[in-house]
Amino acid sequence: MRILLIEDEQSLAQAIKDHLMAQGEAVDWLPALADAEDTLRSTRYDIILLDLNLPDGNGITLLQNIRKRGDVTPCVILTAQDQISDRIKGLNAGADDYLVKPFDLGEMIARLAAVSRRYSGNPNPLMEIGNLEIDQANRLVFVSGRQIDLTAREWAVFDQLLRRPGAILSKRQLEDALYEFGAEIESNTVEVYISRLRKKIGPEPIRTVRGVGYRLEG
Amino acid sequence: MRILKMKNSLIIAIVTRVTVVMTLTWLLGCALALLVMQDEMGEAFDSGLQQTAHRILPLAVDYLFEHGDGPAPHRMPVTNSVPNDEFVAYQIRDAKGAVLVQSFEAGIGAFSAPLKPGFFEDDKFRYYTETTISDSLFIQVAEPVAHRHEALRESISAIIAPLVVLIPLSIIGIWWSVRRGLRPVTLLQEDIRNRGSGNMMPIDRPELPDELHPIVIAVNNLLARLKSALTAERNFAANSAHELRTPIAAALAQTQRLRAEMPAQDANTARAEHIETSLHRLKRLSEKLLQLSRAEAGVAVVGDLQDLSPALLLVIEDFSRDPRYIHRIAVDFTGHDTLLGKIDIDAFAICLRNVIENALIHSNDDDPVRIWASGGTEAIPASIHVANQSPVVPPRILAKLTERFERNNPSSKGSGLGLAIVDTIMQQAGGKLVLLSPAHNRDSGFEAVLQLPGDDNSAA
Repeated sequence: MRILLIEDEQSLAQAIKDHLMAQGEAVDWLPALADAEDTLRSTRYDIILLDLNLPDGNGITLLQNIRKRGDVTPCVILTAQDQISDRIKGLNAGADDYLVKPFDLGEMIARLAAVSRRYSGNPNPLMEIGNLEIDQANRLVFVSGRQIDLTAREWAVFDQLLRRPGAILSKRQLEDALYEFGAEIESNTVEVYISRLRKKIGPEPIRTVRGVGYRLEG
Repeated sequence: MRILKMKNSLIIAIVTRVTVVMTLTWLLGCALALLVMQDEMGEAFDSGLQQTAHRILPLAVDYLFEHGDGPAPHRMPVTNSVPNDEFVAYQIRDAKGAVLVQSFEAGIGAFSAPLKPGFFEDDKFRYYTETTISDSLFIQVAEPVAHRHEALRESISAIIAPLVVLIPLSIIGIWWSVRRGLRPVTLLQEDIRNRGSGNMMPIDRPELPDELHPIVIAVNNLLARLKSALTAERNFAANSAHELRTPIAAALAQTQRLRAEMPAQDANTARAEHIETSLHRLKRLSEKLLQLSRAEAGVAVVGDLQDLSPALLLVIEDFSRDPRYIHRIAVDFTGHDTLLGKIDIDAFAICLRNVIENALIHSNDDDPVRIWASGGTEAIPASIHVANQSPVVPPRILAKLTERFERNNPSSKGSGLGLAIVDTIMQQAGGKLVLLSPAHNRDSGFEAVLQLPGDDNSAA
């Protein structure tokens, strides 16, 4: 997934970013609202992690603005404001979930996965595709009942396909899930990871649509 | 209590004083009137005696001249139609005092009055003596003193009797007038009472009399200062939360990253785990201290009934998806579509979170915690019940659980602050925290009941 993290506390932001990247997610970190507004106009993200008390304003304003212009990117609020009324305000402004600081990084990952599943139209963390069984919450994949191990990057690509089964995802969309914003990528990186995935889960589930991209057979 | 209230009542004091002064004034007025009346009546009666003497004397003298040969005393004839119960009697006496002529009522023997013109009074009669024919004949007219006394008594009764009715009527009139007159004070009193429960709006009653305006101004100034102090306290609590939570969040996240990046067998793994555990404890304790500071900042008090359902659902959802407590929360809100209470929604959430957390950590990991509602009618304000299946808490300890740092089990995982915070908030809002062990209709368990404050006029 490509995630936008908006957080002004550097130490916390760095730890969150490192943890998400270790899970194979691509993370862009911005410490202020103004930068975030600009970036969200030009780039599509799978999830926004939004702090509320930012140096140049309140995160709720940003959320209201992007919802007003029809942007439905899932948003999870990370904040030290623990009051229920703040939370109701955040949810009413269009947030999908609300994490109060301090939180466990593991809990944050679980919440992001739950929100992501909800947006994919399949809130059930357990999926079956052919002889594949996938536990999205725990990132486990079984082929004919046998568990296989995926690296973080392999999971990131596979997760993109899992969230929209049957839909064609462009190479560019899969690249976004793989790399940090602005990072250098090789031209054949997506093909390399698709090839590795096919070796592990078999060639059938992931189909190539020539000249367009890839599709997970539903 | 009622007697004390009556003693301190402004209406009672004013009515009593006005009534006493008015009654005394009336009685004094009556007494003066009676004195004057007695004097005037005496003069009128005396004048009557004089006129009677003047009118009878010529007739009596003529009669004497015509019948003077007979034995004395003579009685002048009276008409049969005149009843013989007249009050005035007379005698015609010669200069030696012998009675020559007398009326029927005069009795036997001469009057005791001396033969001297003018008035004379003994125990029974008041006399008037007049002389004629060169002081050789005297007429004496007598009237019973009792007659005069009777007239005076009747006059006193005529004056006093209406007072018996008028004084109670006056008290009722004064009571009504004073109550009407003090109506602006009652209105002001109601306004100030309403301000005591979270409503910090200034009092706006331009129609109040001039005497009350200084009070309104003073109360409004006080309300403004209170509002400002309360806002400052609340802002401080909110800012403290942010300032404290963010660095703890950063330290916890960094520690968790450190642990994740350490090789499995690293010698420092245990140390990193200790740091993480300590940070978790610090997180819990700071959370409780922030809640306590909010409770003491008076966050619970609100002016109107609040819909607490969103807070109830969000707090229960938090616990339901916490991996530590998954499948342990059993909720039954049948028949309670909305939950209303006169308490701040955040303060209510703090209370609910604490009682649920308390029930979860003080019972076995597999035992359910039941949450349900009761009341919520016009007559009975709503209550939220949270019960676990813990062993029975002895009454001695149960009574002390709302004190700070008081625990049932000293080695328990609780902070010792949760129930103290709940108790403070509920009291502040006008509600109540009730602790039961065993739980209601059970042989064991611990039950916390949040009795929510209802509306002043009709319960929630």
